[in-house]
Amino acid sequence: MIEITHENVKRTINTALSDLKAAGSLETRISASSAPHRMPVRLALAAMLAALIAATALAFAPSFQKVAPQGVWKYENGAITYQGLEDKYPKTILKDDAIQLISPDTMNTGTLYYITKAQNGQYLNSITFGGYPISGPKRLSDDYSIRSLAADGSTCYLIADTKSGIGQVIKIDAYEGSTIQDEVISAPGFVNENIDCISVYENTLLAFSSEKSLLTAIHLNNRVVLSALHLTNVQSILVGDRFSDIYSAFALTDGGKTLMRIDLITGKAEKMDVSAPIGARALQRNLYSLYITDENGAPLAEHNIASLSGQKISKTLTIVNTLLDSPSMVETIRLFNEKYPDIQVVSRTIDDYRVAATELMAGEGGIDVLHLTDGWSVSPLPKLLKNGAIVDLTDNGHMIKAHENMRDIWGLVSESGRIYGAVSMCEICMWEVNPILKSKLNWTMPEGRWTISEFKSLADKVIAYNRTNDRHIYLLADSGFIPNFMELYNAKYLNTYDGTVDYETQEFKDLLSLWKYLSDNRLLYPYPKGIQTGRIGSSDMVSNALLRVNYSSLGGYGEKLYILPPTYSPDDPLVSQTYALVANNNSDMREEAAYFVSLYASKAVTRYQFYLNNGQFIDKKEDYAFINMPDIRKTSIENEAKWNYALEHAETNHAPISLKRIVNTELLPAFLAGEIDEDAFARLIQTQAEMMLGE
Amino acid sequence: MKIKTSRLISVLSGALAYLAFCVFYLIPLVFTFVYAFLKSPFQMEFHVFDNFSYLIGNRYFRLGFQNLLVLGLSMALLSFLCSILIAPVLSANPRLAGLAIIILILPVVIPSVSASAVWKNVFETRSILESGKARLALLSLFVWKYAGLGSAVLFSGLKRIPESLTDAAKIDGAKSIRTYFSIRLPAIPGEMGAVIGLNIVFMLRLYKESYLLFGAYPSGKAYMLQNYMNHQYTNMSFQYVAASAVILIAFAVVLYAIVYFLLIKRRGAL
Repeated sequence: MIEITHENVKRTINTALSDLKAAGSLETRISASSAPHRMPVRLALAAMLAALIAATALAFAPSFQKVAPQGVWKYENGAITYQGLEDKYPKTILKDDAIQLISPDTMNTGTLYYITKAQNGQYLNSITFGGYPISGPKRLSDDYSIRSLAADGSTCYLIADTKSGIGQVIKIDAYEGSTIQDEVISAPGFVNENIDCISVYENTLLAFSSEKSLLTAIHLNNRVVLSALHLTNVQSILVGDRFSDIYSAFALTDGGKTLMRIDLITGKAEKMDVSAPIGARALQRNLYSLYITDENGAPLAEHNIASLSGQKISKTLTIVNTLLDSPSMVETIRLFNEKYPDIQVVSRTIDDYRVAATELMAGEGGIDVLHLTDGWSVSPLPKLLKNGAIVDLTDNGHMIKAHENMRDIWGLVSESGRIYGAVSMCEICMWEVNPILKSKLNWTMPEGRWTISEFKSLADKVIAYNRTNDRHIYLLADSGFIPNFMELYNAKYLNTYDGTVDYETQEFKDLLSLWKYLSDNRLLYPYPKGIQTGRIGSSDMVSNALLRVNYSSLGGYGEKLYILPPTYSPDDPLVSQTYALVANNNSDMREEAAYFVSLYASKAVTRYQFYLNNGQFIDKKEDYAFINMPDIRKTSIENEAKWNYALEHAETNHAPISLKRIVNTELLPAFLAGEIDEDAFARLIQTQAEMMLGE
Repeated sequence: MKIKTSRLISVLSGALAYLAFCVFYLIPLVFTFVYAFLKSPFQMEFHVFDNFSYLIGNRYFRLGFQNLLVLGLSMALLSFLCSILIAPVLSANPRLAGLAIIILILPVVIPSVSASAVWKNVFETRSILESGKARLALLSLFVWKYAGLGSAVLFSGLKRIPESLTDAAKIDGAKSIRTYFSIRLPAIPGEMGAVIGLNIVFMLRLYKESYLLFGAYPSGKAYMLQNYMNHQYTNMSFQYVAASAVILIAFAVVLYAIVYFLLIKRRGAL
């Protein structure tokens, strides 16, 4: 028992203090005593944060990667397998013992073409790496004894022994419904015999004959032999890249040990300073890379194909959602590289508009030129122009110059006088006429323009016919999202750039009344549910309808009978769906992107557009490069004239998709059911349209 | 040596935490504020209050904000009231409470697509032609989805209240309803604040369900600020999205401050 005295208390405190001093500071003592317990917590926290940051870095990683190289297709033990670079194991795509040959698409779109042999013949098919059939089975001629297959887009090239020769290169269209005839490739100076291997890319065909030790390069568009040179001991050949003064090809020789570059302009071959890996047997490519692969197609080495081809690249210009191998795009790139030889043009695909929008706003260097439609972009293009997202090309000197000696087609890519892009493809709306019903009705079809009131008279004529005949006929088959009348009205009055529209007019109400009149008298062909939400499944004329609304390229009109859509007054615009190439205003290479778009719009490039796709943009029809191509369906002279007239008088339909949806799902059904009248319809749609345009 | 390692780890973990805070929170927030004052993401010019004056002058921004205030706050309050009514039922049946809570929280985890499909069928939503019905659909969907979660939070608070407190009230003659509203609820201001706070957060995020029910453009009566912001995004007018977000942040802070002072601070829950 210690007595509590002043002295004792003082001694106790002093002892405690000296102990504390001996053990160091209080802070150290706390740290020392608790550190073993706290350490794991801190470590765990640090590890969690590190993991979080690492995960974020990994999540961003793909955007820094190069374009994913192609996967590996194999045919073994009666099954086709595909192994993407991110797949751990190959997955079986198709089981079929009858498969004879396989060939992945040169463009590396993830499509495989393959040939099967059955008792009743041999067939060409294609399938995606997801297992979805794309085309086929297409019956191939029994005359072909096929040795090899190469695919470029939807066109395939065979090496086959035929009645006319051994080892011939034959071009065939992969689609079973195609009317394009098979073609034995011929070109002055090219002997299409004893060919052992081929490579096709961007309209260039390489063919090698080991018997003659001859490599021949042919331009497929104009069938000109670009180059022919002697090579020996060739394992594989590949078409390289083409720039202004560079046109190259590659060959793997000496048992896969040597990679050669062949200049197709000078015809000289040189050994590349690139070591081919052991086991190298073949060459493959996509837009950006050359792959040296083993015999199964598994990549062993990857090289930038543009720099291997000889181009000195400092930058890339990226185009979103377009292929680079169309003749017009190839020509645009060629002209572009004349001015910017150090810029490589590459292509990307973005499925989701929001992803593209985010990238555009973030200012990443990933998008320079976009291929857009109003349908895809959700927001109408003029609105994007007004918001500064795409480059205003109105005062762009190149663009103005580009349209010299061309028709006035600005209506397709402008609003309120502001030009926002170059037309890449357009579908004009015209109405197909059923010739049998036309003669039954004894209807004299108007030449050129006709009006809504004339259309109303025709409706009365059909009503009268139906009264006296057993078989009911419909006046109009319109499978559009909204009635074509409304599309025409929108083209005239809806301005997305200025944000103005007026539906509360007598003209619009009259159109609604007319629509109701047609509906009440059963003159509108009742498409099955589901088809009326688009134009799917509505490609054929209905046998018991007199007229059918149709959007199509000129080539799609063929020899059928067409008439311009009726309009309220003869000066009203007609309507089109247009695909446009636009330049990103947030790109580091805004100037270059705008120049690219203006080149695409120029006469020099337009002449490489397929005339029957886009009609006559150029003044003189004979200026087109492919005017007499046998591959394209012919159209009648009358339809061609009508289509070209409509082209000059058409406006692109920029009405917001949401507006169409509201009309289609709510207002129109309620109006036709008598729940709302014309005034209410006009008022409601006006309110909603103002909301969409006025935000 | 040990001490040095410990300090190093301490500094490193602190730096990592700071880095994570910057990357995931601070930088996006700062950029949102920066964009709110820019002419557009495509023209990096500062226009101090142009975006805000545009928004205030835009009738559809005002309409969206007005609907957010009226419809959104109605949703948050109605859901809160429902939570208050459900919580004592749970409290009275503690054996069944576990199962009941799972059932009540389930709507939060059910995908909005499935729920919206049911609502679409029930209400036959036609937002333009029957805007009143559209509002009711949205309101009921919100209450169905979040009232259960709120009641579970309140129930957890009610469980903590000592029985002696309610026993004392009973001895004083208070009926169960009176006890609940005058004794038990005032004893859990923190939980009530949390439920209101959560409802406000959910209300500010309410777009998916509205989109699924009515599409991108509902009638004026169901058009919320979120619709406006989303459309500005698709139009690539990010400056208006950012400026709207700044206004929304200010609005959320004001709401939170009201809840904080009325329910939490005033009742001394913190």
